Amino acid sequence: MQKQVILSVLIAILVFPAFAQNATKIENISTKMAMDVTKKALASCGAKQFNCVVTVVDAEGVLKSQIVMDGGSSADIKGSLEKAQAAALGKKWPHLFDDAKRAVAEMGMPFYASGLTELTGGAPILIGNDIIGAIGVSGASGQDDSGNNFDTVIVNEAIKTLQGH
Amino acid sequence: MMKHAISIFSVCALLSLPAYAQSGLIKTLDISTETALKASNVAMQTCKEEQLSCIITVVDSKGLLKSQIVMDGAFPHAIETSLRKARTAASRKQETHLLEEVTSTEPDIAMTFNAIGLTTLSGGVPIRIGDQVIGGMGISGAPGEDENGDDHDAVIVNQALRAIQSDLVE
Repeated sequence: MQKQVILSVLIAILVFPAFAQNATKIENISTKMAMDVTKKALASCGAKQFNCVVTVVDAEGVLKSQIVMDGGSSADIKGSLEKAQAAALGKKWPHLFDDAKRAVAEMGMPFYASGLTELTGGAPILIGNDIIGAIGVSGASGQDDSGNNFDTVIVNEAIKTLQGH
Repeated sequence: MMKHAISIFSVCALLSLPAYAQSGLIKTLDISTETALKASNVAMQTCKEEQLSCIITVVDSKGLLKSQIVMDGAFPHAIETSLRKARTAASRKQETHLLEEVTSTEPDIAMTFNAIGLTTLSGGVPIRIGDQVIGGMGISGAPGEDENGDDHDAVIVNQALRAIQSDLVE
């Protein structure tokens, strides 16, 4: 119940500007593109010997695909979805996302109670400056030689495959 | 009465002991991600050919997600429905349309299943190697029946599972 209230507050904060117009037009990632980026992320996880969960959502945070590699953790199913959703919503409305974080903090709640996450491993998928979706990867713990989190490295490698779409 | 209960308990303990004494471990066979994706791609292709926007879900033998693909234009609510179909098929080890038939004689079963995250809707099929269930597949977004009166979503799932039959070896 508490989580539902927090989510309602967040949604109200995030989508409020949309009501100012009669209709909103949003361009979303296709299933084909979602699977293309997912395949690259899975290959990258496999090459680094991680058992990941890879999730792609559309611009509004609605699921497009979710793949659990053999040996992947059930906890990462939720984790990767939250990363993807946070990336989709946060990048689209960055200042409002800050407001949402502040609103949750003022309620005395940890941010994860909102159903989103600030963990690394989520990134928006963009065409120009427009977000069309987001990807989240969980299950690739640790950092590479340059100090970059592996899940972020994998996400960025995967997104690069979409250049030219 | 008490003595009778103790006797039954002792017999049960003796009967089950050898199994535990042998290994102490349970070996579970689960569908791989590769095979899950292969079946999903076959199902997705069929849905495309029939101009349907489906959601295709595969879970392992414990009902945990292996893959879920949401086709363009699919009903958002069907994300949950297809997962429930796959999970129900894996957990109950039977096709969900068989459960749908039970609702005519046991109307409460649909409500109970809904409350515990399962479903009695057709379109969920267990994935087997021999008699062993290694997962479940569920499809939502293919309404209606084919010319034989079979539910469309169940037909598509069964087609996809036939396509991976040769991969289902231990």
